[in-house]
Amino acid sequence: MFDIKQNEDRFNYIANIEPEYKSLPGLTPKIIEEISEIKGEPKWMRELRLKSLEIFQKWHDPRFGVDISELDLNKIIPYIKPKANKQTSWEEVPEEIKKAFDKLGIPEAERKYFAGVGAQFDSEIVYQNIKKELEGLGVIFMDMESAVREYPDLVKEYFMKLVPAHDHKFAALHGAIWSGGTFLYVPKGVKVPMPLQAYFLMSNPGMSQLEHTVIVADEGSEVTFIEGCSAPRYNVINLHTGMVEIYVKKDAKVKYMTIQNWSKNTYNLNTKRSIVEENGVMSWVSGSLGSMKTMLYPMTILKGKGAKAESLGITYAGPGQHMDTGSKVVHLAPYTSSTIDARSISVGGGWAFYRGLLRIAQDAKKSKSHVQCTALMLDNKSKSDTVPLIEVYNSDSDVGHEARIGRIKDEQIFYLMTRGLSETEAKSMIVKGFIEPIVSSLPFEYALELNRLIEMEIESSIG
Amino acid sequence: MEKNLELFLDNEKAVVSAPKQFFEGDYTEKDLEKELSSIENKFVRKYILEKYSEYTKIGFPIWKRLKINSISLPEYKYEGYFKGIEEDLGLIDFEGTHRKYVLLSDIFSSMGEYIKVDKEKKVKVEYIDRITNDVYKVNGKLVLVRILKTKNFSNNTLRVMADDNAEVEIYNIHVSEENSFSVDNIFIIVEDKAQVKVRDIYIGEGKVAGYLGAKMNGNESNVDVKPYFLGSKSAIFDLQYLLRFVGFENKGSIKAEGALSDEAKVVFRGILDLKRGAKNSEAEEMERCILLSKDSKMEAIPSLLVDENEVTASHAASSAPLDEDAIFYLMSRGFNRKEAKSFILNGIFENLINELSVFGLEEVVKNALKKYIE
Repeated sequence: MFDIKQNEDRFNYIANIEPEYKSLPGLTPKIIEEISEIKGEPKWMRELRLKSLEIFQKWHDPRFGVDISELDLNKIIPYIKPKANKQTSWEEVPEEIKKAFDKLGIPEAERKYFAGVGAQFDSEIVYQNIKKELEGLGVIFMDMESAVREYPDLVKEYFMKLVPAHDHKFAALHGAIWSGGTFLYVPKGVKVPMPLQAYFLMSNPGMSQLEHTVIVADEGSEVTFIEGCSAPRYNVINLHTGMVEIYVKKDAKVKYMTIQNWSKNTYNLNTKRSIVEENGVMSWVSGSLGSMKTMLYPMTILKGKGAKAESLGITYAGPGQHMDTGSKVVHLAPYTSSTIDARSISVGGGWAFYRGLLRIAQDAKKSKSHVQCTALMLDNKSKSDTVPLIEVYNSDSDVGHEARIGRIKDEQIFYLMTRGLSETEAKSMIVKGFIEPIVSSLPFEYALELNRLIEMEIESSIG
Repeated sequence: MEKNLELFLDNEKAVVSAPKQFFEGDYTEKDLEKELSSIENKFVRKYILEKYSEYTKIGFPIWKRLKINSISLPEYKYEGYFKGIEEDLGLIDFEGTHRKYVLLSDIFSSMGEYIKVDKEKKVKVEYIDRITNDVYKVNGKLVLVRILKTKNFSNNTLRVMADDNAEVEIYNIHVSEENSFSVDNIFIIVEDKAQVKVRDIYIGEGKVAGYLGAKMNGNESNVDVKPYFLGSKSAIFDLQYLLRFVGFENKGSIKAEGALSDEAKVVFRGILDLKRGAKNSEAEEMERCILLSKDSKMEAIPSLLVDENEVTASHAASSAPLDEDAIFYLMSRGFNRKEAKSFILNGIFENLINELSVFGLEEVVKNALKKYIE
């Protein structure tokens, strides 16, 4: 078994780093203009921010999902710039920031496995490295602020085009005060040979992190992108309202993996969306473990004939957590297909809620979809709900949905205990078996991480 | 009042959306006065006044999926109702498709019956374009056949209390004409070892909001619900089923089947809600829809809400065209395509036709099916 206490330290570690700039709490045009000024943004981006703020101020709270009545956006600090310039070498990153990321194991992971790492500390990317061979392939992989300046036309073509500010209240908020994130462009026919990675860390109490990620996989290209998130524990509320927009062109393939492990004071109200053209493939692999409350429904729009979506997700709701997660797939074109495998675990008073959408439009003839939701409730203090919405608007598509909610059977635990395991170990082993399809699809470092996190959570909840 | 969605865990609650409302086209205080002037029973007068106070505060819902954003109520007419009305009237209060329509029946119903069933009783009612309010308290065995026909507008509410060891069978047959709108709300309280069987049948071309809720308060009861639907032209059936498991060792299932042609649409909402303490309960839900035309549509929202981990709970939904392999097989055996289609559709409704034949009502389904096979 792993050393549980060692893992716990990750959340108790607080980096002692003076910010270079910290905006006042609240949302005003003045603060927005200040952020834009500091970032040296072009006029169109400043206007996008101000327009988004206008929309945000008119929007109502979501009429579903988690209760956000205690989230006072006037107390959120929209932008914190750490005292560190962007580095391309890990050695040059300030010591305190390095310590914070060391706790997350990022440099080690990068050294051993990954080609590129973008590490976001509070509102800014502080470290980004990309191997020369990727540059040679024409791959653009950089922090979003730099991309806005260096590739303005390319960024403008895609930035908040898939999720416009008027999509929902938190999309508008994001448009107004987004900061950091990644821009990734993979040229035609390029198959990126190893996963690219971004890691997001919130270090300041009461802050918001709203990184923006755009991935454009041009025709016939392939890429895998991995995102990890974490934050130390504070007694005040943090807000994470990131946005991911993925454009999968004809015959391209994108795999997007996330392990979300925000600390338990965080509202995680994130938006992820992809649009897939002819014969393109979009795969989501998600692990949602942390945060106090999460609303997250990665969406795929199958726009081109023969496009395909895959979604594999695990949601873990421990004590005090309300996780409202799910997948959305919209089939717009013929011969499109999708599979959704959503699993959840609730334990110790946690609440796992699956909310899904599957829509087969009238023109999406001969489409196929299969949705499967499975929930494991480890005790009687917890709650597990599934509410999928299935809309079928043509008569020659095949759609199937099934869901099951249950517990670990006593016989299973008894059997493992007769083989020498403790009750906690037995439960942990069964849970690991339950999440195995997700774990096995992750790269080794992340699979290990997910297993460790699950083990830690189970230990603290039922151990 | 029994709510449809109870989404909370200890102090944590989820946001539940509510539809927008409209108030135009409603009955007025004059209609209420007309109603009250005909009622002498003090309890009933008090009951109606209480309900009216709530009724005026809420509007009719704007239903996006059902495309209802206005209403045309029939001229109010009192016809006398509730034989032997007693204090039990308010025992079951529930939300239904929408609270406004339940209250509409409570206050402005022009017909209705309150019946206690101590032994064995068969009741057959037929309502055409009515606002009704029926209450049954069952200690023995009740077989209730309701035929609800809607040409313009109808709003029917049924409450059933199935006491310990009661046996309740309900055959609920809705037939709606084109451009009609009807609402039907049924709520059943199920006590220890009671057996409840419901066949809920929707046939026609109109817009229908149907609701059936059963709360298993007792233990070791069984609720077996089978919805069937056959929609054509511009029919929209927005159907909601709720099985709430409170006691232990209860069994409940919702198994829906249907077919749609032309531009017909079904919205199927099934909620299995297992409360903490509902140990060893078994909950199951299934929906299967065959879309027969390119413009027919199916929407399904099968929900599992589980607070108790010592349960078995599952749901499944599917939509598919007519099974071409099955048609090919039948055609290879000498049948033409029309006959093959007929076999498959009749197969889906065969059990229902057999059950209805006991009451001489099998032709209702057979005649409806003919339209789909031509």
